[in-house]
Amino acid sequence: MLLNRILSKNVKLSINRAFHSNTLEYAKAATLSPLTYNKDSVQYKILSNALNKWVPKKGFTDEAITSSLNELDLSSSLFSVLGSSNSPSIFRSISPAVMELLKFQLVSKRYQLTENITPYIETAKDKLPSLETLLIERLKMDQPLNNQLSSLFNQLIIPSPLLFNVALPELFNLSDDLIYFSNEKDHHDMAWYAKRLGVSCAYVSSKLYMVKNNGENFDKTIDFAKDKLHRIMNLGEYYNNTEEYAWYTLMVSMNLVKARLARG
Amino acid sequence: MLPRCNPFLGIRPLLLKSSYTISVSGATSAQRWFSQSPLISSTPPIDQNNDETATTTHFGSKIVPKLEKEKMVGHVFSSVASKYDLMNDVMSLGIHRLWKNHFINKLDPGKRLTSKQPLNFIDVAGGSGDIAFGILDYAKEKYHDQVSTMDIVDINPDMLKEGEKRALDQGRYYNDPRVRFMVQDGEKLDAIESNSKDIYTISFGIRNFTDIQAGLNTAYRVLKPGGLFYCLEFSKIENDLMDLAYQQWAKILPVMGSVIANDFDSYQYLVESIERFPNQENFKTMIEKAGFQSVGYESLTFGICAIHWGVKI
Repeated sequence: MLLNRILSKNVKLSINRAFHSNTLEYAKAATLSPLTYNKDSVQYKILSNALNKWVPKKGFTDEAITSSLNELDLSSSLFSVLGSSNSPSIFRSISPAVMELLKFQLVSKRYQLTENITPYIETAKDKLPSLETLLIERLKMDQPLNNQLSSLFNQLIIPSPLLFNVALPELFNLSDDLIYFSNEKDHHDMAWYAKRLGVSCAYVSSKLYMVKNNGENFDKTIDFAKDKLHRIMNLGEYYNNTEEYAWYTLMVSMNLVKARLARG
Repeated sequence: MLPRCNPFLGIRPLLLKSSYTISVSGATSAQRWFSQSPLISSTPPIDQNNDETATTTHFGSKIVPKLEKEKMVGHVFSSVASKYDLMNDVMSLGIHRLWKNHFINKLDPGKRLTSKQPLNFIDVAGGSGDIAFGILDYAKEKYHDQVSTMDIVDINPDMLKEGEKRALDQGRYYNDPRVRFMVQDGEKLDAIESNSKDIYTISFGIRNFTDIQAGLNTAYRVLKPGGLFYCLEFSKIENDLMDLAYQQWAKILPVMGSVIANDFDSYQYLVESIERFPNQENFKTMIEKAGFQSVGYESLTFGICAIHWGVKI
């Protein structure tokens, strides 16, 4: 798991994995995957400008992107450039460019959250921030979008390729980052998935609480997130105990069967 | 060379670069199909330097002289231009309309109301006007864009006439100052200035370029920085079952071409040119090689065709 995690963070994977070190696998990723561009690209400039300046006023709409394009004195042909990797869906009224804006909001903030943190492999575990700190930090990033969070959620939960190809994978990528870049103990096998699922639930429920609060009184959201995370971690303890008990029972049962068989 | 929008009539010879050169044995087996055509030499030309790729090119799986290719292609295509729509519908069971609609919807073209500059489109190999008119219609209906310009480019004058006729019949885009019909070689686009276009589209045409990489390089040249290359083309089927079904369908295609357009050879060429066209990943690499960034593709109908794109930064 650790190796996979390291590769996915810092490495551009080749299609065919090699069984030895090679420069291709260890090359620095050229884009902010799953985005198809990097921070120096025109797409990044347009979308980050739209997200920071215009989305708080105009929401996740074509107008926000148009305003950004006009401000940067760029042509509206870039709408097609922005939306090129997305397909229109019959369930949605938004354009492919707005889909890219939604994707950008999720991906860029995930990268932004951890860009100044050196992961565990290169630094001491106790110097890393706590999981709770990172979770709250991520929630704070969306404070300027208070009024637009509701429409953001509405767009993300509609069953469509955007939900299954972008929103859900990004949610789990975020949970993965929150754990990997925090001082949290990592696990393997089913516990790895269970922990990420739990953190995802804590994040989504906190975000929904934030939407319900309409962004007002952010302290309440923080308290809610802390409480939710605490409960999830307690649940994790139960999970570990249950898993340990199940494993113990399995071993005992196997030994019992072996003993019976040996006895004839 | 005959760029065009007809997915089933790409007759433009495919010049093989080293990676796409076919073997002589492959050409020999294909000669049977073309043996009755007066347009196509039944004997592969002999090159004095023994370098076939320098003086010859491919027409499907057949090796023909480069210089003869345009005439052969032009003749064949001119003869079928009048049955363009009917044949497309019959051959694709109407699915080509869905692909083209998706292509335009995904492109989402048009000058936005509050934008300052109109857009300059170029549709290469688009003599019939399918994609070009579709883009202009979409821009008008969705964004009320009636200022953006469109250059419809094709190397075959007969196909361009067909497109003009269609524009005249439909009562729009004929003698429209925004729309220019131009006979141009898609690999060179001599009359198009560098860095002058916002969006370059090509639909079922690039497969027939003599030198695909040259066509991609030219697309890069004519686009402005920030311009978008958008291509719809047959590709490699990713589903084995669908591939099996398609292989059977491909056997019928030339016969249907013979019945509907009295042109067996062209449709035989179609099938062979599709088989010869690079798969999604290889074509993506070619687009990147031309200089485009943020390159990607979307396979349609299990990969029967694919939409490719790239951005000139």
